[in-house]
Amino acid sequence: MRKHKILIVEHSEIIQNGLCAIIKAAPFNCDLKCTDNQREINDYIRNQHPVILLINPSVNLDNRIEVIKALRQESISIGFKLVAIVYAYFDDHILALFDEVIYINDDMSKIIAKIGRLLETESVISEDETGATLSQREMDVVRLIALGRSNREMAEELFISIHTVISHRKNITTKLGIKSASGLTIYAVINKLINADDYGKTV
Amino acid sequence: MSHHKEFRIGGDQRMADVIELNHRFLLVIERFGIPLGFGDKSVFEICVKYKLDPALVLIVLNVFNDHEFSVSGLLSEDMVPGIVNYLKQGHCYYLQNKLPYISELIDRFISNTENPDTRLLQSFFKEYVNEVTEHMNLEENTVFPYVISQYERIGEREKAEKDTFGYRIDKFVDNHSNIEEKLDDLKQLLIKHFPPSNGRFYRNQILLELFDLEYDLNDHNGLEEKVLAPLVRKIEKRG
Repeated sequence: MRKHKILIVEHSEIIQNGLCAIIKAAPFNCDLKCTDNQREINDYIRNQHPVILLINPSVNLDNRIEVIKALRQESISIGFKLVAIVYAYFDDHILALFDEVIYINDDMSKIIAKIGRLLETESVISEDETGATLSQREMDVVRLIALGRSNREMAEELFISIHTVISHRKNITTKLGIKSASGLTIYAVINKLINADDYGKTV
Repeated sequence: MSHHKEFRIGGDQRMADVIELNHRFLLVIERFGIPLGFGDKSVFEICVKYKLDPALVLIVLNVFNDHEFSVSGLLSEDMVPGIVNYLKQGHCYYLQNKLPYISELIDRFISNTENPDTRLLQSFFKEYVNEVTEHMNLEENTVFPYVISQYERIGEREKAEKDTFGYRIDKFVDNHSNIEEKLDDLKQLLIKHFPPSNGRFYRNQILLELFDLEYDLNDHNGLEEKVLAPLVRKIEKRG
């Protein structure tokens, strides 16, 4: 059976280890990874294709609310579940961004039940491989291609590896059927990712 | 080696019937320099009239008609100048007729639609035309002269001079895919990505022309790979 990959984004080691222990005790076949580093999050999503991403909404990241919103977009387009690890007060509109919420006072069986439910619905989600809609991240890449950035420049701006940039580009081409940079630039203009005036300056 | 190979299209057939069979032959006969208005003359008679090698004309017609048609055993080295000339006429057609015509259609589409983004199609198409021009210039200036020099050297056996071009035909046959990219992108943009707009007639016309061009370029490249390259390889081997 395939291993379910789960990423835990949490700065407290106690919580990290506690969650890992609980999930490992459950009868899921899981691969767990913990981090609180933006770059590692993006790389993991790209390269490991997690089915669940647990994140503490107060995790110590720059613009964390924006990061969480971007993760929400990605979770929809790529097809993973986004779960909040909550032990402080959060507004409902933040919590509404998540598929599930795990509270500090949830007991072990409750946490396992929540994760179990998400794993059961997992197979239904990640089907949109050939769908024409781009993820937020892919749109970022299209916009930067349209602005004439090299793969290396894109990697630096988006805090992802060059390898990840290349894999985004492959997915974009598969989804849109457009290979050339100038073709993607026109796509970016049509979809208002850049201004029409930018075309021609860059290609 | 059999010379009685089954030609779907044979020399005794009337040229007018051949055109009826597959209207794409209009492009072929134009490139061989055969004008329309040939009455009931057969392929063979027309070849005599225009001083064409009937074997080569039949190979090209049959390859165009059936992409699976095997040319093995049919090629002869003295077809080289004829095939090079045919390919050059093809280039001429693309660069001087076909591409400018599509460019005109794009202009008409732009002026018939209210979407200002469509103007980008013209710049994109110009980039494509530049790539095609560059590719065809390379063939005209490097590949074909090399091919002809190899042909003219048959019988001379001047091995020492053989590599002055530093070129082998195999170097160029792999080199075709790059000009297909933008053509395909343009199709995708028009089919999938530009929102519905006015000027639908021209949008369709552009697409019909692009599909036709793509098909024709494939035939053209197929001829280079299937007929020209094997002939030159054969000459190269004789050294």
